Amino acid sequence: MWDDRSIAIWGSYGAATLAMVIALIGARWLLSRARRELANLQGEQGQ
Amino acid sequence: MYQFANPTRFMRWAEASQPVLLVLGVVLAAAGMVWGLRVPPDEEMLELIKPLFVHVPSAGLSLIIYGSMSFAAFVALVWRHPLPEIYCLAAAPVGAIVTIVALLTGALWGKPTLNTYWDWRDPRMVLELLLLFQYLTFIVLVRVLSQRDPALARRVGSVFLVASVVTVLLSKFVTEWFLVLHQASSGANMMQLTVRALRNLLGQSEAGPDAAPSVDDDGIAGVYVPPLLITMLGTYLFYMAIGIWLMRYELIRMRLRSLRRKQRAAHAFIEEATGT
Repeated sequence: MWDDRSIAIWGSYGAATLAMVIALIGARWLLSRARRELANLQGEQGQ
Repeated sequence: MYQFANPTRFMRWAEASQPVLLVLGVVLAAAGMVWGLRVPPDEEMLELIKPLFVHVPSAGLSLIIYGSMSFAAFVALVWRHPLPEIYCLAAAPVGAIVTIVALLTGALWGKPTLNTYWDWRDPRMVLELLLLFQYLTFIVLVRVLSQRDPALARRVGSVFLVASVVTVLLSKFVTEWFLVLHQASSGANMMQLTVRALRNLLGQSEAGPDAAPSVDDDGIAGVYVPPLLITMLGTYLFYMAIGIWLMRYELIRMRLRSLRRKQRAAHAFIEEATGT
C-alpha cells in the first residue's frame, strides 16, 4: 500500500501541512508568553 | 515609505493586516494543495508531479527569506536602523522551517525518481542543507551573544548574514552552471507563473487540448501553473503572517529587556540610598 510514490506524495503534503501547524502554534505560543511576561512586569513596576 | 521605518507605526500597520494575510494564506495554500493533489499525471513523472506543488514554494521561500534577511542586514549595518534587525530575528525561524520542509519533500521525491533520498555530490541538495545550517547558526549566534550585549549580537548577526548570502546566489544558479541530479529550475518565480497563468486564461494555451501535460526544459506545463501559483501565494502569505507575529514577539522581548534593566537600576539605587 505504501510504496515510494505514495510516501513521496502524502509525505510531502503531510510535512508541509505539519510545518504550517507547528509554525502557527509555535508563533502564537511565543507571542502570548511574551505578552503575559510584559503584563506581569508592568504590573510589578506599577506597584 | 519612510513612515514604515518607525517600528511602532510599522507594527501597527503590520498587525492590522496580519489576520487578513493569515486567513488568505491558509485558504490559498489549502486550495492550492487540494488542486495539486487532483492534477492529471505528467507525461514523464506521472503522479510524482504532485510533490512539486509543496516542494517548490518551500524551496523558493527558503532562498527568498535568506536573501531578504541579508538585504535587511545590509540596510541595518549601513543605516543603523532597528527594524531590519528585528525582521532578521523574526524571519530566521520561519526560514529554518521552510528549509526543513524543502529538504524533506525533496528527499521524499528523490527516492522514487532519482533512486536516492540524498546525494552528497549534488550541489543543490548540499547548498540547501548548508542554508539550513546558516539559519540555525544565525539564530544561535544572536541568542548566545544577546545574553551579554543585544546590540552587538544583532550587529554580528547582520555581518554573518551579509557575508553568507553567497549560498543563496549559488543555490539559484547551480542547476544551470553544473550537471546536477536536481532538475533545472522549474521557472517557478511568481511573476513568470502569473504571466503564464494569465496567458492560459486568455486562451493563448501553450499546448493543444489533446497534448499530455509535461514538465519541459523551460519550465512546467501550463496545466500545473495555476495550482502551483496558488500554493506559492498561499504559502508566502501564511509565513508572512507568522513573521509578523514573530516580529511582534521580538519587539516585546526588546521592551522586556529595557524594562528589566530599568528595574535593576532602580533596585540598585534604592539599595544604595538606604544602605542595605
